[in-house]
Amino acid sequence: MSKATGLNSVAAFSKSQADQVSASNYWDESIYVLGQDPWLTNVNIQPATAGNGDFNVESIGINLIGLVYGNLWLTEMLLREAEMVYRDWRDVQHDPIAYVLEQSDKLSGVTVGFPKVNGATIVTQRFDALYPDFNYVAFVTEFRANVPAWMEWVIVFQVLAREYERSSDHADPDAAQAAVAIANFLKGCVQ
Amino acid sequence: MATTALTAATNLLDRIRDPLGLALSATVPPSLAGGQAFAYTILSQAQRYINAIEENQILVIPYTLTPYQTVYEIDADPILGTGGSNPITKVIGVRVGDTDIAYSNFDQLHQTDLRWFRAVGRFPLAWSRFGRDCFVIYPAPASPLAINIVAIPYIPDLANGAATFTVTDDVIPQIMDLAEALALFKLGEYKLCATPLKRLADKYRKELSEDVWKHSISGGEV
Repeated sequence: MSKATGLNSVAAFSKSQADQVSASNYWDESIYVLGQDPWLTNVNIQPATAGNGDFNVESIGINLIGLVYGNLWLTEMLLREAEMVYRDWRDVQHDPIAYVLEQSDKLSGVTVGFPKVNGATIVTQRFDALYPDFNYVAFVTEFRANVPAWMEWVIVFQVLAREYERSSDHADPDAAQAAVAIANFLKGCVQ
Repeated sequence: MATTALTAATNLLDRIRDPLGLALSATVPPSLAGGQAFAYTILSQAQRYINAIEENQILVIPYTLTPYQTVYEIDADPILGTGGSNPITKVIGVRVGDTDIAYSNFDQLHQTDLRWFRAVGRFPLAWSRFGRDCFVIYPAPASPLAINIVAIPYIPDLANGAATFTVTDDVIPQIMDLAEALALFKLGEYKLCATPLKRLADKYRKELSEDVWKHSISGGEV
């Protein structure tokens, strides 16, 4: 469902009190917060470079759930675990078998082992027989302004809750509380 | 006998003490027709969300698996996604012919087979969900395979007063409760929203009060 349709619903329920710019920002923020849990998910092929174990999925995802190299699911390891298994884990001379995330953003990291060949050229994102092998595949939660139709009013009421919570000429804690309750109930219905 | 949208809308307007539909109307100037139209909108959404939790109406949708592909997006799909030929809310099962395919937690896939992502087999052994917008068939077929997806449908809008509810009459009370809560919110009766919502929360054992900035899926299932 398009963001514009959702914001029209916000305007209808708020009797046009909601500031449209703020509502638009709250819409985006609600989806970013939702990205911490696996609601809007996607699978995305990322190019792999020979001799380089670095990867970064910040441009495509909010939260990294898993990573595949070629056809192998990579295990996430803590830095200390990787060091315990291989003292020189950054120079291990075989294909990636695991990865260590950066502590700062959790969206970039280094694989334990690095690709020996460049990944196949990624023309389009496809996972059938023409899957471009020897690349990374990131399993992520992602940001989408246009959410699935069944999710629209969950976001609408989360936006209304934020709108009525903020300081404004129509701030209303009762409205905010009611919107939270409705949003959480609707979210529970589609969980 | 299936309940009509007009009957439900009239009952809804009576419940919120707006029989002329003027307060609920989203049109300018407010009118009974405008109030009924917004009531139909609210009732349509209420029907969808209650059906999602009740699973009162489910759909079996023929689908063809692509060779060598294990992960499928739902919302972008031309059949299952928003605007598709058979839009759905949630996949709840997969069948091949008369055989139900076992459901697996997403974590169990890589715990069972580290190479599940490109695994190929003669017959699907398990299906899973990756989040709420992707489903997985393990292993993938080597040639196109016809399956049936069992799903909660995205029920179409109640277009006018003559339209009837898709769900059975036994869940209409829950739909009316949710519609009442939504309509009272529109009217600005925020404290009165709590009563029908609490009835629903008690029935479905759902949490209503939660920090709007915190979200979690119970069980942490991916």
